Amino acid sequence: MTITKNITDIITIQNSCKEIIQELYTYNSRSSETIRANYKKAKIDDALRLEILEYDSYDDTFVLSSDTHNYYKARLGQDDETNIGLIGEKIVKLKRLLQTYNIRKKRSEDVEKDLKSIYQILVQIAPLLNHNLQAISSNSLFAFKNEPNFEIKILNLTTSKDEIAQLIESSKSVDDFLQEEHHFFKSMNDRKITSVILKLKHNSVQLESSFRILFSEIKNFINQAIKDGAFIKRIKKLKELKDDNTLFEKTDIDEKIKALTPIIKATKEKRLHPDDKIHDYIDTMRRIISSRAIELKNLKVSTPINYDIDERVSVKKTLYDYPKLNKEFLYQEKDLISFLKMNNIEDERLLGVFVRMLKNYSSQYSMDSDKFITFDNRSYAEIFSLKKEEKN
Amino acid sequence: MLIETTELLPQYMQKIYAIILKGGFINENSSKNAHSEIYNAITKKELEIRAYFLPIGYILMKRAGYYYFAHDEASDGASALEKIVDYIDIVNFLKTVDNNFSVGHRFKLSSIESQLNSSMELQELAKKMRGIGSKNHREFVQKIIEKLKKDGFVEELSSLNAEYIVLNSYDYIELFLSEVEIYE
Repeated sequence: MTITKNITDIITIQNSCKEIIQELYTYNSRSSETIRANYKKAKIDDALRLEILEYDSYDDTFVLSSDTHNYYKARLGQDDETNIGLIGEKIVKLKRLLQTYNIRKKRSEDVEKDLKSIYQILVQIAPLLNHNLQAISSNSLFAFKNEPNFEIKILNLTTSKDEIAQLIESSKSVDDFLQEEHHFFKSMNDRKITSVILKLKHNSVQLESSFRILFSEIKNFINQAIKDGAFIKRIKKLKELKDDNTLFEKTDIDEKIKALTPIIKATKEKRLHPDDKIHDYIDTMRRIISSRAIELKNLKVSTPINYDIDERVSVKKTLYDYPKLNKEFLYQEKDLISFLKMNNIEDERLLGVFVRMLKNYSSQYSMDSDKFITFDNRSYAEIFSLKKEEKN
Repeated sequence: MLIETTELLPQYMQKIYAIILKGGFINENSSKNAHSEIYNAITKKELEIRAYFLPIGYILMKRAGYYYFAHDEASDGASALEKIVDYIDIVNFLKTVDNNFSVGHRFKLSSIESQLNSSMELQELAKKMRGIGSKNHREFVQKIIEKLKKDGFVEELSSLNAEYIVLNSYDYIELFLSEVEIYE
């Protein structure tokens, strides 16, 4: 039995079911019982009859028919499926219609219906070309940016590359067709057809640069993906060697490490006294003394930094008289560490006192940046009084 | 080069110094702690900043979208090696989760966890990463992300849904690993 349909009925029924359509579009399927219970005013049975809704083939749930789904997908601009083959089919159909038109024209029959059909097909070609261009662009970008599986990514990108080549061919075949049938279309002398042909030609010029850009973008995506793939392969190999304990034997990783300009590691605070915050004192002090132009104002940091527990020196409450020690140091010949040792500073406090002296009075000291004195397994910079040097 | 320190980004110098002391990166694509602001400020005074820090042994290095400070002395080998070797496991794990895991990639902790829950391959990889001891998959993922965060390679975008972004500095690890020669 043929079902009689008219557009007004379809629209009325669609309108009564619009909330159901939205729900099914979002969630794919819903139990028919729930739908019927929740949307009592909707003309569900009519929607089923007009194939707007369908029963799922596996269970008793409602789904959107593929036509309805595709219609809304296209209206929402979410249609990313390509249909390049349709362009060729349209041209074949057009050729056939032109023949029919020609025959009728020769027989002086009415050609109005043929002209309408030719127009209707011609008008679909530009949107088809544009839709496919957008779909390929969107698919390739999605594959490149979001596809987590490397093989699938390359497969999808290669498909997009092939599709854009096909689309270029199809666009060219449209141009060729219009060129071949140039006189024919002119003889029709139909304003609407002439206008749509002009639009098609204009569209073709615009598409040409878009094709070129997209083709080169997809090629870049593929190249980048291949590069990423090579990196993944390399990482897997390195991991394999690491697990086999042959990483150092079968790669140059240790040489590469030596050649690497290392990142500053988090500087460890060497707390020598509750008030002291000196960071990497030897390196910093040595350079600061030899380069007096540099300001040391910002050396203290306010952010908390972990310190090395081994380097921590416990400080007893009794503190040394640093100004007195400094005064005595300035008027004698020995270097700082020997002077402190001579002044019976306890071994466990030697480093703390040394740094404190250096921190407080560095402007009065001189230091050769490469000379160190080793005492108790620790290197101390060789520091003399500037006054002593001036005397010399 | 005579450097007038009062003209040298006075509002940022303390922050830059704090970053140096922590061994951190200054990323253009970071939104935390004014890093992108500092990055742009350094870009404008790059030569002066480099010259300022050079005498005290800190070399300003520039790579694609990030700065960091390096020693002017040779690497101390062992610790750097240990760190890089740890990253072979981590980079391999993350690339297996998603081969798009690289600079600029956004991810959620929960999505890595759910992939780990459902993939035998990832579970095998996680089992072999003995350095990251964990009671369950969630803790394992959290520890990896925490390490990346601590080392300055990722940043939390939203604490509500634990969403992160991979910072430009992640290139430091990728570049190093891609330059290691494998003898065939």
